Amino acid sequence: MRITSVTTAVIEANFDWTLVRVDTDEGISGIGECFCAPGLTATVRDLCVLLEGKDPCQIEPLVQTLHLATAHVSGGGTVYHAISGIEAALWDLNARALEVPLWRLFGGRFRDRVRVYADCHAGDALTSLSSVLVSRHLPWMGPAPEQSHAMEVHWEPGGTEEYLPEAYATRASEMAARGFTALKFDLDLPLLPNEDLYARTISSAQLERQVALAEAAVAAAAPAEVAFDLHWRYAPADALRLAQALEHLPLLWLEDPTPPQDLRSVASLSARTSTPVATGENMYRLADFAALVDLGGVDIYAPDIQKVGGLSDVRRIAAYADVHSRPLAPHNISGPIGTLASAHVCASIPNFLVLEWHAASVPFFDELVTLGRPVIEDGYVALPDGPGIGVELDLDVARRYARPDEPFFGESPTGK
Amino acid sequence: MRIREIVTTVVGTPWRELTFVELVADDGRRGLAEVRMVNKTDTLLACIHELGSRYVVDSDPFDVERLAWQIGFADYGRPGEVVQSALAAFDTACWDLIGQELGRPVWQLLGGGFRERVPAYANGWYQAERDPAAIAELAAGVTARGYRGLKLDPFGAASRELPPAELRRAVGIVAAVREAVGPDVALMIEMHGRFTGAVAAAVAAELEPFAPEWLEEPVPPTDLGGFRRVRAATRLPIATGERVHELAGFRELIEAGVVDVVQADLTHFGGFTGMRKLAGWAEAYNLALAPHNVCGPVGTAAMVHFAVATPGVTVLEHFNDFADAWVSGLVDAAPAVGEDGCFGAPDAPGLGLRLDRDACAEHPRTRRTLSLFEEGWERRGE
Repeated sequence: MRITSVTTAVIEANFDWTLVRVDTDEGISGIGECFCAPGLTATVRDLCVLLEGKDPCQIEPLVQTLHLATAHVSGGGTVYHAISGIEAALWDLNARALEVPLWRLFGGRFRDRVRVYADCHAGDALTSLSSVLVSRHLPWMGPAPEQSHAMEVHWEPGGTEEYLPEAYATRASEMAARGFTALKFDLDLPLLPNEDLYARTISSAQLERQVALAEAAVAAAAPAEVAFDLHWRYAPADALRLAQALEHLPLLWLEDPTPPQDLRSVASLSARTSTPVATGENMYRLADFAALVDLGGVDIYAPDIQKVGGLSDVRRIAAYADVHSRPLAPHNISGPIGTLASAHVCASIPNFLVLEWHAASVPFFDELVTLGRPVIEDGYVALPDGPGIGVELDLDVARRYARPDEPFFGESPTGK
Repeated sequence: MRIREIVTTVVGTPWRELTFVELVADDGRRGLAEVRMVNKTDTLLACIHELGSRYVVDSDPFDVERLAWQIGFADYGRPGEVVQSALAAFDTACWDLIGQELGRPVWQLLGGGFRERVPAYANGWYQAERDPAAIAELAAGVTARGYRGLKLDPFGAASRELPPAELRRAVGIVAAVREAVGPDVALMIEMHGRFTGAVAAAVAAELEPFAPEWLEEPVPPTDLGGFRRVRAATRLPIATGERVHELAGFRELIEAGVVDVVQADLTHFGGFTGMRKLAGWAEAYNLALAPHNVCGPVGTAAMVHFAVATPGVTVLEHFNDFADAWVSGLVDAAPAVGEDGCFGAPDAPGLGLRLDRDACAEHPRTRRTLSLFEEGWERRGE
């Protein structure tokens, strides 16, 4: 069997769900998903030359080739996102060729359904972000709002209406009622008028507001558990003050409190609070996680499976974390293709806590694949029995939501 | 596919006993594995039957991760050399069944092959008096056979200390071997955990001029302080791991930075499932993997599959060209070292070999043991 082409399509959902398809001369294909990034599909196209004509069964050597070929530009970032999607597509392809569900190639499964947590946004949750986090209005979102948000960016100060305790409580009880046993809210937004985006501080008014938001969400979600995300925003002393101020709440975890490159601070913070600390979505391959562990580690590791390097890398990280008795709660902003591949990995590792689902606001999430039932039901992904990841992409639906300025699996872009 | 029965067969040699394990599936297929248990064959057999009846019979051979969790974690005790060897036998035989079912060699199911040839180094070749000239002559025979590496423990029955005369003798043997094989053959120095850190450091200094490939187990595997002392005293690479049986056991060694060559033995480390996890870890720390291997043909075949599929593997140990060479006749397709000193990548499904039970029956148990702390152990019962 030989690889004949590696092509991409980008679905404009709440993020750019970037799909990679690997086709072969035997008619067997595999599909994977990459975490969005600027220049991502061009990167995949540039990597094609290293894959075409090669044996797709050589998954790990091919991945190694891709890393060696890009070592001069990358210890992470767009190239790794591309490789993650390609690797997942190769595993899917191999499992389809062998006519087994992917989890069987990963040494079997510990669970036949995978627990999912819903990433929640209070208020008007219908937002979509480009690969550089600029918000955009898309046709599937309905009529455009009067006030254009076209240039509003995710990390700047915004309005406050949706960041009230009542709004958090409303969304928490709504999602818990849908069957989710775990939820996640942002706790770093918005900046208050006297706060400086660049100084990484938490004012006393902000701290009071954050605790009130957390208390409201935790109370409304119960018995579902709640995690909170800080998006790497704070200085270690301020993050520690917040973590300690939340210690009276049974948080699932507090995520990404300090900048991602500052491993020492997050490890130290984790050691100094009883609030569980999670990080990992901006880390790549086992080496990054090993570096964090060498500094003391954190309580929960959250690699992003469509970004970290591939499905095998997640399995290696899980094995490593298990030696240190830490669970994985993988980060996930992907569509159904990436979510299902992630679910196969999560089923195969013992030390799994919960997998993210970030697409509650995307009405066509389930339509994209031919499962015949929702991918997520009652807060779980039940693993399909079919070969590979167990579903096909519905090409008609995918084409309907595809980015017009991007190729669609080898077909030319339809417009700008 | 379900496993219906566990069949064990022990073959005796003058210095080791080889335990073959077959998992018989409901479709009649047989998954094969091997363990050479150091001096505890009866204990291993008891463990295989106790754990096997609980966790293996009636199970799906694809569920290797859950099997490892059951035996390594849920069974509550701390898995050591016997339990991890029993698990290795189950895991390896399961992968053999998986490969047969899917029609692929095991190395391909592990993610693909990084190499078509796996370099081997010879052991068991110095069955002679501890005389430099005699051992050098045998060493020349090893390289003439094609091997590009060979391992040697020149320290006799030494324990903790090495008196000056014994040190001179050991150095003389190493010097003679280096002279005989030339500068381009890898010469591994095996210390079998004999020494204190201070003694091992002194020995290392004496051996540096002969450019050994590595110093193996200079101190007992649990002596982290001893490893640190040796590390500080020599630039020679340090190898260890054959007596570490689970991932957690490598934690201190790897995080302390005292090991360069990770020598876990697949057949004492939970099989492919355990070794894959270790391999990922070793890669993250940029360490070499050189699996320990005293097995006959089946365990050797398993390690060849692992070496083909694992980027960090540099070389694989092999006894069976120089000690008990007849063990290759126990199977239909024993892995063989070619004239280039390497094993080839197997291409048959699973492990790619079947046990010849009639051949095994010709070599019943010997109940021989090996003591590395008694004079003359190098002769291996001959």
